[in-house]
Amino acid sequence: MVTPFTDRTRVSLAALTAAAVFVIDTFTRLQSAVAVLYALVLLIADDGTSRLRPSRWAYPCAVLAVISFLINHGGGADTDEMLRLVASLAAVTIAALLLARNRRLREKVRASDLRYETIFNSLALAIWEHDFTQVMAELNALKASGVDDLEAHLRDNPGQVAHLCGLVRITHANDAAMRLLGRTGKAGFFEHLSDFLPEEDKSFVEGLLALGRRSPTFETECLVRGAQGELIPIFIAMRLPTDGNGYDRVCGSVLDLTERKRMEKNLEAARLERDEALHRAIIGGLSTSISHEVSQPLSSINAYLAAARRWLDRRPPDLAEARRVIAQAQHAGEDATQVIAQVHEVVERGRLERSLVPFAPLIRRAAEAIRTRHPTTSFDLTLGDGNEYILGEVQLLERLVSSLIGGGLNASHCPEEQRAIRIATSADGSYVRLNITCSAFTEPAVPWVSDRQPAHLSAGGLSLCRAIAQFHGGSIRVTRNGEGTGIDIELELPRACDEE
Amino acid sequence: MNRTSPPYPCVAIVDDEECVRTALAGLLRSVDVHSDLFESGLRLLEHDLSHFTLVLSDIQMPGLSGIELLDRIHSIAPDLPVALMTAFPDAEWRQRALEKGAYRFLAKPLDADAVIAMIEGLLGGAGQA
Repeated sequence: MVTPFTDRTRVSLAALTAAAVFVIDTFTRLQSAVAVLYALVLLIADDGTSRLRPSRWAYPCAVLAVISFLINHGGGADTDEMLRLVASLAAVTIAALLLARNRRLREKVRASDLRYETIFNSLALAIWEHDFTQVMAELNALKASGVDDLEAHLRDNPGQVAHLCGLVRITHANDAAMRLLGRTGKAGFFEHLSDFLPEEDKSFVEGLLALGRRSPTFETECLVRGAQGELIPIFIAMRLPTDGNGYDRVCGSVLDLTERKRMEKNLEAARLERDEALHRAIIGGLSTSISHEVSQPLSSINAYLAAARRWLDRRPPDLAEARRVIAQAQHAGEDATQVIAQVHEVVERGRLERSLVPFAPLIRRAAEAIRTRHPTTSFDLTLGDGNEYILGEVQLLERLVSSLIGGGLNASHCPEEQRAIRIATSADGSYVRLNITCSAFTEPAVPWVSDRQPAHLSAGGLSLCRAIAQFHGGSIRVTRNGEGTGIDIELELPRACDEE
Repeated sequence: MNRTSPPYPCVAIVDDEECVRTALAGLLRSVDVHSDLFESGLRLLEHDLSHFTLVLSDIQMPGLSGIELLDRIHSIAPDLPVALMTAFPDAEWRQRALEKGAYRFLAKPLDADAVIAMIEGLLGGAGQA
């Protein structure tokens, strides 16, 4: 039993009670077990702590009861008087035992509280406790007044939202919460949610709606204001009462997102920087490729035009030869135009954006698009299960795959119905691969095929394809296939993790 | 291998770009110079080099580069002039080509008149081995 008395008062009162019981028991002739009242002394003396043990009072009380008995009865007490003494001593003993048991229970509770408090304060996670009692009362009143659409009501009444925010009391906070908000003592922690939730906050409305819906949980990201007025990004999660009780003790577990936000910002900056570097790298690579690709047809054009001039300078001029080489120059010009158009298309889109691209669907799209343009050509597609991803610029990759398939197909000189193309994908832990096997080629297509560049891939810009593959960390290999009548093209690209 | 003069001027054109090969062949034909076309240096080496007055070869080619081809040719026919051309005409390539004994170093896109002047100069006797 814990009383509002001080220790000194309690001891004095217990002593006075003991003295009074002794006087009454010794000097009056009451025919009852007055000594039972010594149990009162123990109850008064018990301060609810371990400082004053019940036995310290029980023994003197028992002694006083025996002294009083001896004074009154000496050695001639009858049975009733003996039983009254025994009853009194038993009452004192039982009272002492009960008080001792209560003391032990209280100590257990106190130890448990201390343990809880230690855990509560040693958590790295900030926790503060909300009292939503008044808020719930207001929400219930709103509902009773006929407000069915709480969301619309709160949206139309921002002043009431601010008012409700001011009703949320903060009843407890741990040390991590103190550190998070820059407070130095629990007494100095914010008293109300509105003290540290900025006015422009939007998450509180969501919290109110969760309360209104009797949602079992609520979590959100928001900003809170620290002691110095700085805004701190946090994630807060609460378990809300669902039975209508316990709104006075709703704990919010709070995660400080400052570091994460800073990391995200740094990562974003690094990503932008990397993309800029990649962009510059690919533009540099493309410039080299453009230079190489365009210089070939330009060399041809120069040669054809110089040849044409010489045919025309002859006496008599050889007009037929001049026309022929001019036509060839025109054809070379078309090749150059095609290369420039393709490069222009890639470059003019500006910033390159990488994303996770599923490999097999990418190949399927490109192959199907080409198949519609070559309906009589035999296509054999063996694609993976779709779980392989690459990290890349999807439009560049589509262009790459289309150029390789289309280029491989067009390298054949035989009739379209005799052409066959086999397209397969494969993957291991590190790479995904596209293998294009083109067969039924006829001479003289084969001599055009080198291990670097099939003739018809030139127009499509194999150099550009290589630049795109290299941009994605991959490579392209082009070889004659087994019988020497076709080509094998292998595109290898780094495989990306799904979580990337 | 000691070179004997070919019975008629013939230039070996080595380039993996078919359009370049055929255009150069057309240019040479306009000045009545015969040419044989090869898509790689290895294909050229399968032939008798004594037939050629000049080898005009690209540098960047798969398999055997123009510089390597120059070495191989000079090991077989030390006096056969080999002109190298490239779409990447940086100073390093130029220096390497000339150090290896290239007859000329030509940058792509080619200046057709310079090509003709080179061949006419060679056929005029100054450059013939």
